[in-house]
Amino acid sequence: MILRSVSILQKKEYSILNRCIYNIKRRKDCQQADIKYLSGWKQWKRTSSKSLKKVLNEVKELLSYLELWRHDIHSIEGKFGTGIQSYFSFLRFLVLLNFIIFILMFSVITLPSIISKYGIFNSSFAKIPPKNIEPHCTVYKPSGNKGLVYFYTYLKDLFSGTGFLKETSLFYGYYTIDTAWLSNLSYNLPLAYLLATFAYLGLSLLWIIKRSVEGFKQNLVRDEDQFQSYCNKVFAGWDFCITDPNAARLKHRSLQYELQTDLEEERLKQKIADRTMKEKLRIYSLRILINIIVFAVLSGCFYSIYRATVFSQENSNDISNTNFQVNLLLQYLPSMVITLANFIAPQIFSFLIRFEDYSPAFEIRLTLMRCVFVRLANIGVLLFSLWSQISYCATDECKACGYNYELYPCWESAVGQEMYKLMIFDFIIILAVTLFVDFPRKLLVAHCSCKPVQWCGLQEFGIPDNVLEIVYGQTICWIGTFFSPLLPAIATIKYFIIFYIKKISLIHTCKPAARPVRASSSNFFFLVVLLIGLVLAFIPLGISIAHIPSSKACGPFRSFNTSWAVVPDTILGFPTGLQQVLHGIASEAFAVPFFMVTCLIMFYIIALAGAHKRVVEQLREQLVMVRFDPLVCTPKVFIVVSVIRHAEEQQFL
Amino acid sequence: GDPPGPALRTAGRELWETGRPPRCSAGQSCLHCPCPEGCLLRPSRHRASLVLASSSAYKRFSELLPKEERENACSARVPKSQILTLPELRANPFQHRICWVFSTSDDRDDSMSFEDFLDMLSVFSDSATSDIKSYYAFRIFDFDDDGTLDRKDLEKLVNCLTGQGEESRLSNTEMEQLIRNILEESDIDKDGTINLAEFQHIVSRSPDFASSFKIVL
Repeated sequence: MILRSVSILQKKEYSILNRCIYNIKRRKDCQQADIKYLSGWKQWKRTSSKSLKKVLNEVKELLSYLELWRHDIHSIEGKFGTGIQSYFSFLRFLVLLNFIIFILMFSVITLPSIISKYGIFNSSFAKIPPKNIEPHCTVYKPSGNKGLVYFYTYLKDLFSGTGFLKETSLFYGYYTIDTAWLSNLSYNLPLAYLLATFAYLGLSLLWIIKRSVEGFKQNLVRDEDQFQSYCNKVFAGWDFCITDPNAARLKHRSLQYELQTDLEEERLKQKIADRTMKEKLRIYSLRILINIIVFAVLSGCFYSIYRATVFSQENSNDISNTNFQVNLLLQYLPSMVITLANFIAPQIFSFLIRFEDYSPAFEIRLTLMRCVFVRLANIGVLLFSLWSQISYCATDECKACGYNYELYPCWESAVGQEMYKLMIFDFIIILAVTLFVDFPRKLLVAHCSCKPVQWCGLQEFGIPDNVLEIVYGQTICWIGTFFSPLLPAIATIKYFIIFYIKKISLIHTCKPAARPVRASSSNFFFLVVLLIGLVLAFIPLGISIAHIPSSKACGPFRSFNTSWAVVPDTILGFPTGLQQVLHGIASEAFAVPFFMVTCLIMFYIIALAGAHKRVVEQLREQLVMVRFDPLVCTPKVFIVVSVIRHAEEQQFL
Repeated sequence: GDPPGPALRTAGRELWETGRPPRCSAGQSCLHCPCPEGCLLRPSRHRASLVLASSSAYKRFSELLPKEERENACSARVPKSQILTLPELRANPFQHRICWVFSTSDDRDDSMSFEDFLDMLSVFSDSATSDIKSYYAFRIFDFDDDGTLDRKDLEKLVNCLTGQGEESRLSNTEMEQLIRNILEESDIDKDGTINLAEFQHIVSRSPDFASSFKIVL
């Protein structure tokens, strides 16, 4: 609130008015000029573009009717608010993504394999035995079920991916084809397999980034400090279009929560500003201590997962243990330990964060980031322990193969089986929790009126927890698809069923959230977490493809050292000119200038963004000055400005 | 003072047309006086042609009347209890204020005639300018009808927004802090109240006001 001298203010006020009037006049003249000098061609162009826009709009409307679950999500939005609706839209997005990945993998990898294996359409396949490899590495006898077996063996195989399931096209081991021939066309399956893997990773990355860009823009605009946020919320807060009492209740709650959060943030900011040096020291040392505790908890989780995986692998390979239940339990031990860790760690984190004295919004974000890290790192630890088992080599023969050929002749299938088990177990847990925890809880609360039960109450639909659950499942799917090409189909069906389970659970067993969540921030948060999952999925895949030697007994990469080696091999088959171009692109002579150009472009865009931000700040300051200077706010000026605005609206709407 | 009479409604229209506080036929400034004579120009007459063109307003209004009175709906008055059964008003926390502001009943029983109903629809429609919306919003938020929004009005306003019931109200300290912030943002002359000009000024800078202050039949 800067008061200035009268003369400057009056000049400013009149200059603003003059600018307004000048702009209106200029726009009016331009429009009139356009209409007068529009030739026949330009008029036709204008009318045709208008009708094209109309047609496009109608097509868009028609397409929106084809949207999956459009009506369900709409009704959820009406009853529960936009925060929960964005969770279900996110679920729908994952169903579609998995379906597209499945179509990709099926058409590029599975279909050609099946066609060539069964000789349909006059096709055949070639199985070239690998050269320069020790013969013992190539021995592979998948221990299928021979002779009469009990029925429950099939059940056990279905749940753990062993036995009859191991030899199907579900797992990597089925695709032991080097080239497929369709009449005279040859189909390089190893190259196709690798390229399909890169394609589905790239597709997921691009799609997620495209969706998150819109959310990011909204988030950026919203996070800017609004200069009259309280008046906005109070005077323009109530939406007069609301007709449903439920929606009205939701709105009341969300307004109450927003006002309370804003006031609390303001109080906290004031408190932080008032902190003395002694208090700051105390807070920072407490935070360091709590971060050490968090780190210790994480290490505990990782170590227990490592031990469980090693134990499970050692004992389930022991064939003498044929007891059905114990064997199944052993197979699922890593999954169970991971689920337990995923349940306990977030409880500990949300307890600890209270002592760290952050603002409420930051508290939520930090807890979520820690939970995300726990969930995704658990998968990484599982894979790491698996690899340590697979690459553990004591004998020379083993070292010649590069992996433990006795226990894991086809180690990619073994990893695929673990991912399969994780996915199935995740699905079972979600089903079990809904059936055996949510519904009984609701029945208990509805029929039992004793105090502890009523105090516990119905559960809330916790959006962050549910989102982490499905992102965890999606990360498993991304990692596992390389080792098990049909896993996306299972993921599609799983998420399809989960949609209906969650919807029923929401409608029948949940109470409305005490803290309503805004949709725009939710959408962006979901996609950021998903992106973190995808990036974390790149790491194990990268190591498997490029570092660990591929198994020589099964799979399309038998003839190659590692799975990645098929690419250099193919390039060597290209014409010399193309080879030189590709070598040039991969060399430092290209990479360094490319990197520098990218850096320059990035600096330019950052500078542009900074300049825009400064312009916005200046305009905002101008508004504030115009608003608070009493000499500018004379009724005459205000009314004239509002009349001008009114005229603008009327003419240029 | 006296309850708002018909003169006050026309003042809104004249204000945005001419930019001057209007004067009625009695020669008095219609913003402040209890004008004894009804002024000739009413907002609804200007808009009536637009709104009646879609007969949905007339249909909705006549549905609120008992069957016998539907023939002369134009001159009938609908009691407040019937008005509040409209779905658009049913869930609205400002329903009582809306009925009070738009009702022209001499008995002060908040019953509405068809003209009042049209008044209300035209103010809440898309085609009303933000100035007329903000004028009526001010009238609705002014719980004690004294022409300014003082602390008590703001308190009642916030309580309407957060909902009925004890657990949905803000605590005293929170309310104090909130009202202090609101006055800091909007009270230009620092008199502790928000008058019409300040209110219209602050609302004109709000991006959400026009889209939220809207009722669609």
